[in-house]
Amino acid sequence: MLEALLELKKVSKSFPGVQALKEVDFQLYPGEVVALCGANGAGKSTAASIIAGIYPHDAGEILIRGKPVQLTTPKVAEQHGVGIVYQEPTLVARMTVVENIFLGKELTNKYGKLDFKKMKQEAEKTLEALGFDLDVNRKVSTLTMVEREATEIAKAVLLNPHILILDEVTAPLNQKEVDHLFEVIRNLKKQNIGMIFISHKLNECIEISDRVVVFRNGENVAELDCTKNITEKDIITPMLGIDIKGDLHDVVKEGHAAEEKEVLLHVDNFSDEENFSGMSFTLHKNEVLGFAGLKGAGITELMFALQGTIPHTGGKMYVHSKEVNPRTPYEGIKAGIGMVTHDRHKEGLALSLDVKSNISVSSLDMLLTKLGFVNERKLDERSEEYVRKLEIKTPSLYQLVANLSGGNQQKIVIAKWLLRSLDIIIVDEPTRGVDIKAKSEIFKLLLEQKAEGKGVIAFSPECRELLSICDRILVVSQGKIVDEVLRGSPQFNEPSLLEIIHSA
Amino acid sequence: MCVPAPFQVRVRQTEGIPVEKENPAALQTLSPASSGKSKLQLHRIVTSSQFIVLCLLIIVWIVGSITAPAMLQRDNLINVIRGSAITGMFALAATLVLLVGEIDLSLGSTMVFALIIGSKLYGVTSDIVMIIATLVAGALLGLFNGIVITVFKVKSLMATLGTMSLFGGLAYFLSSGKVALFYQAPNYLWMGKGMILGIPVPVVFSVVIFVVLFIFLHLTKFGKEVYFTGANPLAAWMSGVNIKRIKLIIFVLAGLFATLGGLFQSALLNEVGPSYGAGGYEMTGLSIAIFGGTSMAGGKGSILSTALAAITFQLLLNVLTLSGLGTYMEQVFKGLFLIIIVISFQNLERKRYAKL
Amino acid sequence: MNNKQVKQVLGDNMLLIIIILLVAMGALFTDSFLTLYNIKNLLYSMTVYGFLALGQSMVMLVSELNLTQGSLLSFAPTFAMFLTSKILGLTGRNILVGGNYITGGLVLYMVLAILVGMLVGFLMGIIIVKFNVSSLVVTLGMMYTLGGGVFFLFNGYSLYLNRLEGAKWLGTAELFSIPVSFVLFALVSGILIWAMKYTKLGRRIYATGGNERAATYAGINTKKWKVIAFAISGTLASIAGLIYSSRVESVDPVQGTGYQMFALAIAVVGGVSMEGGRGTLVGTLMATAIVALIFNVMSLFNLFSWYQTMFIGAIILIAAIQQAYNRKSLV
Repeated sequence: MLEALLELKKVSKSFPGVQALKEVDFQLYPGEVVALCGANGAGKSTAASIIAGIYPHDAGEILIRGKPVQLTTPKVAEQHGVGIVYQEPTLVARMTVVENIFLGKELTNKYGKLDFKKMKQEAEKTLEALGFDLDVNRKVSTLTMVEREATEIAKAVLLNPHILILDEVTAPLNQKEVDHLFEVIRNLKKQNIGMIFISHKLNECIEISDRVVVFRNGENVAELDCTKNITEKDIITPMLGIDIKGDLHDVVKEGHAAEEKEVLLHVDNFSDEENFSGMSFTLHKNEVLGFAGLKGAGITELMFALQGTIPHTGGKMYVHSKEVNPRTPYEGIKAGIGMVTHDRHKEGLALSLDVKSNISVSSLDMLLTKLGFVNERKLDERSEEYVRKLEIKTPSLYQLVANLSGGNQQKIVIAKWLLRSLDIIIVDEPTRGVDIKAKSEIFKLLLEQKAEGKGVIAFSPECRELLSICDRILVVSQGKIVDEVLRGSPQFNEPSLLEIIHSA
Repeated sequence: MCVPAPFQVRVRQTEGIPVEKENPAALQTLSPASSGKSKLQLHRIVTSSQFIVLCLLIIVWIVGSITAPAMLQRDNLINVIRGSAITGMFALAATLVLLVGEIDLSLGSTMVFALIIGSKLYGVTSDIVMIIATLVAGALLGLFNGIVITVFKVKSLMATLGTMSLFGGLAYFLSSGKVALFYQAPNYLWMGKGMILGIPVPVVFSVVIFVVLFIFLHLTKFGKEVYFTGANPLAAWMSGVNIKRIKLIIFVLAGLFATLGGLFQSALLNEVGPSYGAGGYEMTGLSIAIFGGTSMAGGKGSILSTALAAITFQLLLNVLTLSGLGTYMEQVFKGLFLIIIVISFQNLERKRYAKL
Repeated sequence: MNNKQVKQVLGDNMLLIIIILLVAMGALFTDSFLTLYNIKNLLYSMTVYGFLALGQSMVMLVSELNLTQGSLLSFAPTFAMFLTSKILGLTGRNILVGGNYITGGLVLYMVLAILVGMLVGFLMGIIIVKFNVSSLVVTLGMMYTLGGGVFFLFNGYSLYLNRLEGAKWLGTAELFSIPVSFVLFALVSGILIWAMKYTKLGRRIYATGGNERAATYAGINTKKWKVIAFAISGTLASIAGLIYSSRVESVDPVQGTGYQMFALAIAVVGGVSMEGGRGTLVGTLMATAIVALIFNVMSLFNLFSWYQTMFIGAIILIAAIQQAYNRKSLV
């Protein structure tokens, strides 16, 4: 029986107001990849942070190679052979690759002078061993996402850790890049390094790991053996603690035949200088139109251009057959278009303000009294109305938005546009950072809007989400529309869609 | 060019939407939202920071009346209240700018340059025209700041550091380094020394202005947009708020009010000189605004608190002066006051402070 | 060389080109520019501004600001003299003679001045990192505090050093016709630039300013390095103060007023960004030369000092607009 590289015995950790980890048991063996899955707040990142030495645990024991250790600081954890690639990038953009790899661990000669030559050699060696070919003297700001991930990984493995934690490292990558990364992980496995793979993408977890450990509410609730043909449902059930009836993504019961529907938005030869060109499509009433493609295909830019956040240089847009030319978000809103962006904290909400302020901000001019003041009573009524309609869970209208969960925050952004009765709603990654429960609620919400006669344009990097709510999906590659797939057609499934996306 | 920088980055890397911690409070009460209370929601407006300032005001009053009984004399109190009106104008300007998430370090230089411009009309036109010209100049200088910040997209810290020097130097240039005296401008002097029904003119003007601004900030669309712009300018813009217009208006108002405060002061002294911009007015305004609970991150603060804070500050200064604080030490006190206030009230959450 | 290449070369060496142009203009348009006397003046002002600008650059590189540079120029020597006279007074020796002439304590004064500068910088740094507050606001407050305090020490009177033996050496002595103070400046800058490039100091400072979170995760004690940057800037400011006082043979409470703006403008022109982690000390040195040249020419045309203030304000605005244009943000 192999000795465990890392073992957590009844480890607990609490923060003010919340018990993040409750007597967690966990083992990691050499040469294995263990996926750590769980809903947001389940404790995965907390566990990872504790192992990496970012903060200490409150109770329980941590053993490395059978010996109890106190991982008080990142440096101590490093000394015990722990490496971690963080979820958020930890690179200094204006420094070079080699400077970043050696950040905090620079090599010097005996007089204290930096040994540039040696550091360059070591950096190149490490990257090569990982299977990456990179000029280490390039500034990080010039690198692509994959190259940055490569640098982060090189940084983490520089000191030859036995234990490597990978926190959401595949999030910014497309499929090809993920495949490359998995090759790297398999190489590391051969070197007997034990890895903890944290990810929301359950299919990836199943593909790359030997075991899947599921956390829920700070507890280790399930361990699944990947050699035994498990499915995502097997992971989701313990994650949520309830039994999901049927396939989560079959939210839409009936399909929509291609009827004659009123045209809400018509886009003709729409393009901007860099990111997309020749886009022509139509959005109808009572329709959810999906866009599928890789990140960087130009979809997000297209959506911003439609709403007026960024300018477009060519083509025309018609809303209700009238030509519009939104050059600011305000003009887009005036044209009836609202967008829920993929970063609600930065672009959708004022976190330090309350629910009421956030819901009403775009509609203030519609809620004025005769004297020109804001009609507070009406504001209250309408805000309450939408909080109820969208089932936003908040103790009051005056709760600070920062204190709400991701799903509720996302609903507030949607409510903001609904309050203004916009006809066209664009959603970019509508369920990002939203837990599973709220995900289905948001899908339901979008479909309700469709039923009420609105038009929804949706983008999601996960094909399944699009397949579950869209009537039609346009596949975009390198700034051009390459295909259209209708609900009910034989290609309206994930494998076919993925094939279209990747072969374009 | 094309896709502006933040969006380029956005598409290519995952932003850290921070790891969620389910908030127990948010989940427990699954009841439908409860509505707000009274029509004006007065209880929202009276916040804890006002309570703190009020307590401090009472403390200073009590301690002051014991250690410096001269404080309670009628003439002294009139001076204090008049002084509060003057510093209050600077504090108001600072508050407005902070509310939209910006900062204005040029208030002192704007004030003095505008006053010097107005002083050039002394003897040339009526003193009422002088007053108006001075205020218009102050507003235009504020507009200049606003344009640099909104049109040229310069961060307000840098922009106002630049205009602080530029306007300060221009004040010297225009006045050739000399002090201007106004003994023959009765209306102008009335602005500082006069009384309306026994209340000093600056106080009357300030109260009116504060009330008007209070109404604007809490009851109008403009006011709500000001708060939202300060809380998250990008989200505000993407929600359809015209943040350019709002910031421009705010900076014009800031320049105007700072100049008005300076006008009161110079009317009291019968003169204005180019060195008058260096007294730390912008710093004092900033410290009073923060003292009153205005947040440097934007989107949080109240006119009422600022007014109370201005009175408390002025009273405190008065007590210290009566107790023997010399002129030089006054400046030391003001500087230390800012440092202490900031330490007590403004512990930064660094993430929100990119601009500072 | 085609058009694009020419633009590239121009862009990379912009500062140097400006220096050459300015020297050429100065030589052409005034006859006193190229005199030995004027060149020495130029070097001397480069020294004073340069120390301040280097200090400001170090602080800006860790994404902070230090507005106390100017007031330290008067506070450090004044407070040092204050302490010196008190200490020596304890031993029964009175160095402050009627009419505010200083007659002794030179070495002690100089050592104390540097210590005062270092301590004020250190104190600023500690307050800023310990309480996690805005350096702009704290140094702004300290600037006025020091500015008022310096008047308080000797009741606003200047102290005269012309009766103090050796007092004017630092500011006026020459080595083969080059001012000793400039040699000192060159030496200190050289050491600082070397340390920033070839030792951990540079890596730490640039990381702290470039991405504080990343630096912390890499195990770097960013708080420590911020304090170090502030301490360095305070020390350099006090050295500049000593040089200044030595040259004019007096310690005035108003010397250095407004100099922090010059230091800031120079740093910005030299390419140091207020956001941190961006810019080089070499750029700062070149910008020091540029600003010193411009001021020098201004003085040859007998322009009043407020032209300098206006000019600095304009420079800050122009540099800021240019930086903003390059940043291309949305709002």
